[in-house]
Amino acid sequence: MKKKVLSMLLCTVMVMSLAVGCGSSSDEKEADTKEETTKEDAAEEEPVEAEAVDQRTVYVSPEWVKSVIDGNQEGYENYVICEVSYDDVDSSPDYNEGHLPGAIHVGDTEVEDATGSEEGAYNLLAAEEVEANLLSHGITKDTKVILYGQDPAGVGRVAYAYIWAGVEDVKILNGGIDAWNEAGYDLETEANEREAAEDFGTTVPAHPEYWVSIEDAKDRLANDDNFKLVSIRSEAEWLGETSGYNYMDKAGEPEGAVWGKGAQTAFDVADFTNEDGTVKDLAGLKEVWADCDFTLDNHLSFYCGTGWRATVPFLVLYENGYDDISVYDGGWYEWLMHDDYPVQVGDPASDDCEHTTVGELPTGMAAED
Amino acid sequence: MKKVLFGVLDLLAVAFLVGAYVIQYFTKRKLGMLRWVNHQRMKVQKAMPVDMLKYVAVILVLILVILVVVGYMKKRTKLGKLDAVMAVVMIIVTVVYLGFTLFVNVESIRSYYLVLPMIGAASLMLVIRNSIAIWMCKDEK
Repeated sequence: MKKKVLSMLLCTVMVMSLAVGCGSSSDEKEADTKEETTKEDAAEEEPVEAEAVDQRTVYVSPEWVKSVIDGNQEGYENYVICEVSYDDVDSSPDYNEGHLPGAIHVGDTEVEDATGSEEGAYNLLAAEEVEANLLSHGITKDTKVILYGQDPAGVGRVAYAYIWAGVEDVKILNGGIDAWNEAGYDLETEANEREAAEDFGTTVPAHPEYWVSIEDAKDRLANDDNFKLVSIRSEAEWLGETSGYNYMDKAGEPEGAVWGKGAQTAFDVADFTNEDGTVKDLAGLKEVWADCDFTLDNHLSFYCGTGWRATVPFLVLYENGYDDISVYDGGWYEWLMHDDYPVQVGDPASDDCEHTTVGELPTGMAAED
Repeated sequence: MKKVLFGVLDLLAVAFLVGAYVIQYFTKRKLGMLRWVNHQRMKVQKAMPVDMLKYVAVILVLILVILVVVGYMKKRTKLGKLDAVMAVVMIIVTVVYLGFTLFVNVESIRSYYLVLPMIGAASLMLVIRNSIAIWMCKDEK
């Protein structure tokens, strides 16, 4: 009898493991279905009015977003709200637990490579792929896009890609869903989708000048005095004490880079955010950069590990009218793929700074999990 | 002794399957995990011909499974119900392993190169378990 019970139990566990092993489980789908039917009642809220903002303004308040939803922002009839998280909607517990009314889900992998291969290097996807993914959400250059998510850098990454592609009005709910909740506005759990569009309305990318390749970064570092490659990485990364990532074995920075601070670890932009999680304005960033080795008159090309953190200062400058800015997309990750590329390890202002090449760097500098 | 050995092998098989699930679960949800998985995959792909090895591995396991099934058929009158159930489980897991090898790739399941050997290892544990059951049945004769 005991053997029978044991065998039944073992079989059940094994079959269950295989059944749910590699995809969305049936339980999850069932839960999603239930959630989709439990839309909270947002209609009882008072309509909100908020001051208009410029088209290039990126970071907006919950009140402003609510005013758009309530139809109180002129010119914002054709809008879409997107919750950004990594990968697809099934993998986003945040979206499925509650999102802004009408929001769809957008994954970072809709705009960037997910393989990390030498060809992809976690850079932005090919223009035609980004365009196809935008159109699949019904987004054209004229659609007013409002993004939000848990990670300011992950949301920034998508906002930057959309601006690069040609979406003319991209906003980010500053402070994300926490700010929305703090304002007392409701969420819904119903999953939303939009009808696909057919014509984006312009050639993608409409702003190729905002994207710098590794070849351009290396060339301009060597030949353009006004070009500043600005590292948006933690101090430990900047000084070459760690790569910051468990998947990069070597630590250092491209030779000639300057430090733009911004992060305490490889996974935050803590220096660029206020205590409440909102991204600082330009004055706030200027304070962070007070003792940095660049000015806003330089061409600033931001980079980090793989192009997430770098997008936050890009967007703050963008919304303040700066155009001579860019993101070196490949970051330290792609730089490491070239053994002959020049590297600095340590503060370049100090005598201890070591100048070498990627191939000569010691391994074993990956961050611990 | 036999019970302990079977218990260990069964638990290992379950642990490999659960481990495969957990890895894929976090790979889908955690950026850091996905990128670590990518990094491991690229390191292994540089070091060895993974795409050839996966076919060699599944063929070896299939041969072993066939041998176990043949052995089971010969001794089935002397084997218990639990052994029959575990033989069926072994076949199911191996079919899944074969399916993953032939029809799934890293594009559809990002942790493919970690999940695949774990399913293969689970299948192997069951092969060993069933082989021992058949072999010990012969000894007890």
